[in-house]
Amino acid sequence: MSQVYSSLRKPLIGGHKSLGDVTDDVARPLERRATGLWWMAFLTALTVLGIGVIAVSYQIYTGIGTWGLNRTVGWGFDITNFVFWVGIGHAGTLISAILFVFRQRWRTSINRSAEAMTLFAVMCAGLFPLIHMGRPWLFFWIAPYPNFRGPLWVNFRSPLLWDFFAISTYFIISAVFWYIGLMPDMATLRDRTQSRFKKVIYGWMSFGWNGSTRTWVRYETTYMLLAAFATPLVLSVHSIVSMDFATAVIPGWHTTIFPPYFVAGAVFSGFAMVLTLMLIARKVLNYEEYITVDHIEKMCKVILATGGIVALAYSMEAFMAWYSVNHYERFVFLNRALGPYAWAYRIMVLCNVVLPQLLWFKRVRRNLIAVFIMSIVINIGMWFERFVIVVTSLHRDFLPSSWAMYSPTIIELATLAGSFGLFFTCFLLFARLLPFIAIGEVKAVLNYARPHPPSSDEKRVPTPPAGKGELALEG
Amino acid sequence: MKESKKHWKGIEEREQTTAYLETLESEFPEPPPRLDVEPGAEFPEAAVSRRSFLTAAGFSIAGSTLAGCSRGPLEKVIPLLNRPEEMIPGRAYWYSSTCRGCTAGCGIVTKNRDGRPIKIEGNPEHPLSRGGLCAVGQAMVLSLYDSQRLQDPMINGQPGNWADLDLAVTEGLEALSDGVFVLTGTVSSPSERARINQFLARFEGSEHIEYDPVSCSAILDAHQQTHGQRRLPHYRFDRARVIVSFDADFLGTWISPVEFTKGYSSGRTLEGESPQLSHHLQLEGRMSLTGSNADQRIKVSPDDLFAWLAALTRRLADRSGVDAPLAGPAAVEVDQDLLDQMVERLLDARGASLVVSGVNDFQNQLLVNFINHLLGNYGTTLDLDQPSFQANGNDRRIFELLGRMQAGEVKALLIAGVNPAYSLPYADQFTQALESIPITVAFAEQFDETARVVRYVCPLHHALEAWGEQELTSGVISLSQPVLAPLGRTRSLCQCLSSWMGNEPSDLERLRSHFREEVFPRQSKIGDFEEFWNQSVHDGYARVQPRSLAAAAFQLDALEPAAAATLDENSYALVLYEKISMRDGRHAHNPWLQELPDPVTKVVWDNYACIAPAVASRLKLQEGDRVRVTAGNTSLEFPVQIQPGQHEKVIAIALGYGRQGTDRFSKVGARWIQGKATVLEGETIGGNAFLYTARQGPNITFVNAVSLEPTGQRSPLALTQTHHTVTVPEKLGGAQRHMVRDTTLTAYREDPASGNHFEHEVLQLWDQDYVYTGHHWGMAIDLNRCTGCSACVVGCQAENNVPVVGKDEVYRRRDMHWIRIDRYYSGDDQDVETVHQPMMCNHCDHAPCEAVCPVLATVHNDEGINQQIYNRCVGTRYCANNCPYKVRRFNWFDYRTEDVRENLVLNPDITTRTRGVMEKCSLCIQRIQEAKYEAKREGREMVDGDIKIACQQSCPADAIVFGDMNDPESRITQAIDNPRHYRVLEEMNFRPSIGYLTKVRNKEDAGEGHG
Repeated sequence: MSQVYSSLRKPLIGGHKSLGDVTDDVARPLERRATGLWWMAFLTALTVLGIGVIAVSYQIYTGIGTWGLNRTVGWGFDITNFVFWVGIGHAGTLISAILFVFRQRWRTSINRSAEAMTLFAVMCAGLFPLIHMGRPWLFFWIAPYPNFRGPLWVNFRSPLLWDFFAISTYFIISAVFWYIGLMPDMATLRDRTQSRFKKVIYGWMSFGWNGSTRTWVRYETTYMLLAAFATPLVLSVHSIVSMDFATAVIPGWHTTIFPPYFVAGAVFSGFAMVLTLMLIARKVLNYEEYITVDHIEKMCKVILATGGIVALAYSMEAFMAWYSVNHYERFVFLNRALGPYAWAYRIMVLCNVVLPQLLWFKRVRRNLIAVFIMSIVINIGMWFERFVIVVTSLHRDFLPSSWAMYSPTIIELATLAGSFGLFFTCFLLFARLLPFIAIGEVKAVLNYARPHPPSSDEKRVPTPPAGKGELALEG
Repeated sequence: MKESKKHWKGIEEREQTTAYLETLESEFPEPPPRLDVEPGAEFPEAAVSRRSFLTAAGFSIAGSTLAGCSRGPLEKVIPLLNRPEEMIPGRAYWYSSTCRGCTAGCGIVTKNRDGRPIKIEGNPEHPLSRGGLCAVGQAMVLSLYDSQRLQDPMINGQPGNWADLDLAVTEGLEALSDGVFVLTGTVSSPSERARINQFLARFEGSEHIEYDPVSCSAILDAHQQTHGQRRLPHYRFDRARVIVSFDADFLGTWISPVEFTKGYSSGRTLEGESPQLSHHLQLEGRMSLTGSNADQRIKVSPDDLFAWLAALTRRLADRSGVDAPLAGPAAVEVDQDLLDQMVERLLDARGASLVVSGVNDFQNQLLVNFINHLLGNYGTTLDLDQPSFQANGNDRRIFELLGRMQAGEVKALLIAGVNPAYSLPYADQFTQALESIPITVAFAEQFDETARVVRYVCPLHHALEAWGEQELTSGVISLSQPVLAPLGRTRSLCQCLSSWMGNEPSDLERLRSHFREEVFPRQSKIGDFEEFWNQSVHDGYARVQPRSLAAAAFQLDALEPAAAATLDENSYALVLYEKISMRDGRHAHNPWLQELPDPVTKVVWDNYACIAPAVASRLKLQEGDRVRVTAGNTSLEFPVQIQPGQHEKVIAIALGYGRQGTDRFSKVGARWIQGKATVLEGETIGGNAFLYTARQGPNITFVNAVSLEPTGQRSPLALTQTHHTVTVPEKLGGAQRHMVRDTTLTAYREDPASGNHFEHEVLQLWDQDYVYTGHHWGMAIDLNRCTGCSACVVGCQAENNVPVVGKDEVYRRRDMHWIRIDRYYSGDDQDVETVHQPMMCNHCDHAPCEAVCPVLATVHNDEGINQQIYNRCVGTRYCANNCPYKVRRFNWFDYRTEDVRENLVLNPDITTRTRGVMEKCSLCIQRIQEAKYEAKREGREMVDGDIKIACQQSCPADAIVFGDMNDPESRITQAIDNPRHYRVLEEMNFRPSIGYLTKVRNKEDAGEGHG
């Protein structure tokens, strides 16, 4: 392959990095002792996770009654958090799979960490359907397998079952995809490390990677195939999650627009979370030349596009409420906008529709502080979107006699916090233990829009096995 | 000597080889087999190899672990060689008896399983209650198993035994020759009355005083004045075509509510040739259950009630050409149009109208008597010749007793079945006077306020443990029989009195001799006494010749109306009323009744000050804000409840709360980090509103002038329904929903389906959906009959082991009742119309809950019932979310009670549910199965009416019809064919199996209503 050079294109990676620089930059944080900042962040995250563990243990020991739910509102924070985290978990695989299929080469700087984020977010998400059960110790009953309970079978009509399949498939594919991508980098680390112990571990994790052309060819093929597998999953997972609501009869849930609306919302929120994390990471880990302002801007554009779809979906919901002449549907919409939970609806519209319009301005897109704030705002807004969908639809449905209000208990607040604790604990461990940027892939795009390929002897000569790989890609 | 002959076993022995000699040394001729030793391998003899050690260790650990898994120590059970008579395990036996929950004496049958009563139902053959039973009656079975019922006698506050108590009391009584008084509630049992009189005959000037805490003494007093006899007429609501009620809650709490509901609903049937719909007009200040069912309701403050009565009297007298028995001019003007309408209706229905008043005021009742007399209602809708004995209390005499106590004339006071230290006006004076009486005895089931201040406490039987009889109305004798041996060392009042008189015939013997001498001769149908007795015990009642008790001719002198108190701007008329659940407070220890939502306010576990919306907005009060209600020296705090339709000058507070010892419920329900106790330790549930009662003339008055003062504090009320109309709020679209449908009689006459015209085109995906070839169970509820009395709620709770969850859980909207009564208002806050709509699982044929359960824990059966499989449920709550009727109930915590005795009430046919499991109405599937087995056993097809499910059985108004929708002859099919029939949310195509019949109000104008 040869690159097409154009003066109109900008290099994807700044700072005239050589191949060796890339390896050094990515591997360096893993080879030094953890910084005080990392420890601080990690212990904070671990403490918050601990609070969550206490809350969940207490809830499982005492009963779901420790949540603020009632006979009218059977789902509250639990499913809100679940959908929120699944949404977050969309960006990673979208970046690594769909953008890969569409040959968006800028993805290489962020795909590793975004995928890791996906995995951790899906782990957080998967937690909630588990603990939201009245009898979580029987969770395995929703898995269809030959059993001695009758045998009793599962209900294939239930969207919750579809969820179980969708989430587990998504998690498995994402994890495999992510791990396959990690293998060449594991080999690089194996070859760099002086520690015998680490060498064994990295060697084991790299599955005996030897950097040969044949290895690379098989790797590329597998990677491409997995990307093709993962691409429809990105769309299907949130479509299926949305069916938890769309197939129900409750006004405000029973909406055919939900699958595309949820997917767009998921990408919207997922990219926001990626931005939040990347903006911190590029600063702390000194990756400003890998995750450039151009990367940030591109992601902002994705957010702008998906945010537009979300805004369109909101307005379509309103339109359909009016157009359907269904007075239950109309009521749900008015109740969201003007009822007792109007504050949540207003936060949602402000954060998801109004404020993201600022991203039309290039100056905002390239202002890192503004983008950081925006990403937080969108995360808050998207959390509230799920809250609005789950709670405001339920709390006032058909029979006015059953209308009720919902407010979370401290246990639910602690569980939400705990899920963030879990997420950041995992993410911080990832940043500490695994290469944050896909070394092999970044090297492949190092030449992009550069008039001269960087000579490999400018700095240190890479170690032979990894070098072989690089050569194979450079081709 | 010749060598003895040697026997040898083998060549080796004979030869004495070395190898043979060696084997003789060792214990075993061959080494023990060693599985693990390779042939030829070298191992030290007798050493345990690593492998065999591990084998042995593994085996013994596994063995001991397995042994540890046994199911506990062996306990021997001893089967009954001789089965007790009438005891087949698992088989239910039904015994008829009489309810003692109030003085109405409804006929009951108790369901006994394995020797213990588990459910009380109405006795369908009983002449007065005719199968109906109220919520209190249904809940009486739980009181039986109350672990805090008195078990042993108490002497000076210490537990004692009967021997000591009997000795002490008889010694004390022997020293007396006069001054012995017996204070009871209404005694409608002639034999009990006779026994009390026999007991008192030994003492000079002694008296038996009957006292009803919530008294209707004025009615009896008024009849003494007008008819010469102190009597309570037997009201016949079934015969009344026009009913005018002045603040009488006759469907809820007044005298005999079940009987009256039966009569009322039978006079309001729309089936048959011509619709029969009585007109019911209610004049009241607060919103009562009866008022909520009235065709027309006029808000009148208690002060103006007499003015209305007087105006009605004058107008009727005028029209009839007689002199009104009223001196002086009318003090207050009333709405002439409404008055004219009322007079016209009453005159049209002469002899078939009924005017009743629930005000315990002598003059008020005199005018009511005059009106009924003028309308010719005596002898038709009021029976004074065969009167009722359901309320006998005499207010005048209780005040006389109090006077004598204070004067020191009372030397012994026996208080039975009433709680004057709690409920009497000036109870503190009573308690004070009690201290100086040498012998004070309380006969009580609970350690109540009175039992706390007397010297001797005699624990009474629960009604289900005792024999008894009551003459409810003349000629109708209702029998009680014990359905289990007393759980404690309790006695009946008569047993105590008998033993203190020196003779000890058992209650049964006493009752039999009373029957032989007094009752048996009054009938001629059965010639043999034993047969008569057995028949009576079997039936639970006996109908005998009424005693001829002709009343004197009507006469009434002109009254000088007492000046009505005028209320200034800041004072209100306090109306004290009985709640359906608590009544006069005697049921405060019953958690089912504490958690029963009030039919009107929907509040549980509390009493509160009901105020009109106008007052609330003027004083800027929210629901649950605490106010101080002050009358004279009495000043208590209550949370407010904003009651639409209440008069602006009225504050209504329920009696029966603030009972001592109700802090026992501090641990009821769930306990968790943010959970709040139902009641704090040392406090009481609600406040005692009896403190506001007072003496007015000869009577106890339940109306008082009070001032209201916000305290700025809050104590939120636990409501089961917080949105009160089917109209959504105006700013959210203001759309009308059609859950409840009603129409007017005029419109109904023109078009029986009026108010029910909501044709929806419901599309089907399949031409032929699932066909129910066998049974297809369904239910129809006639909103026109349902009064909202909530008997079904408790009936269902008893049948289906529905747990009690406590105030905080209800406040969090987690009530567990499988059937609830939705109550919707229409109209503005000033003038409201009410519809009560029972709502339970609708058993949709297209059930939204079934599709979404991931583990198939809720499925449809081939008879159209939506079934919940508890042990399959993992508790995702998706079904409850997707239920359009919101009838599914989730076990948020483990609500089971640890009280072993209380758990005896559990129905063994129904599993109790653990936490994390969904539950809901099963259409009493156990009753359906039982009826099926029964039919099969008898080798016949099932017929309509074989199955009576719990809510249907308990309904005093016969509003619920249940049956097979596939049976063209069944009542349910007829109900479905009725043009009034509709299904809630039918446009959504859930195809519910529960239907409703529109409510028809007897009104002239074709009002819009809910339709």
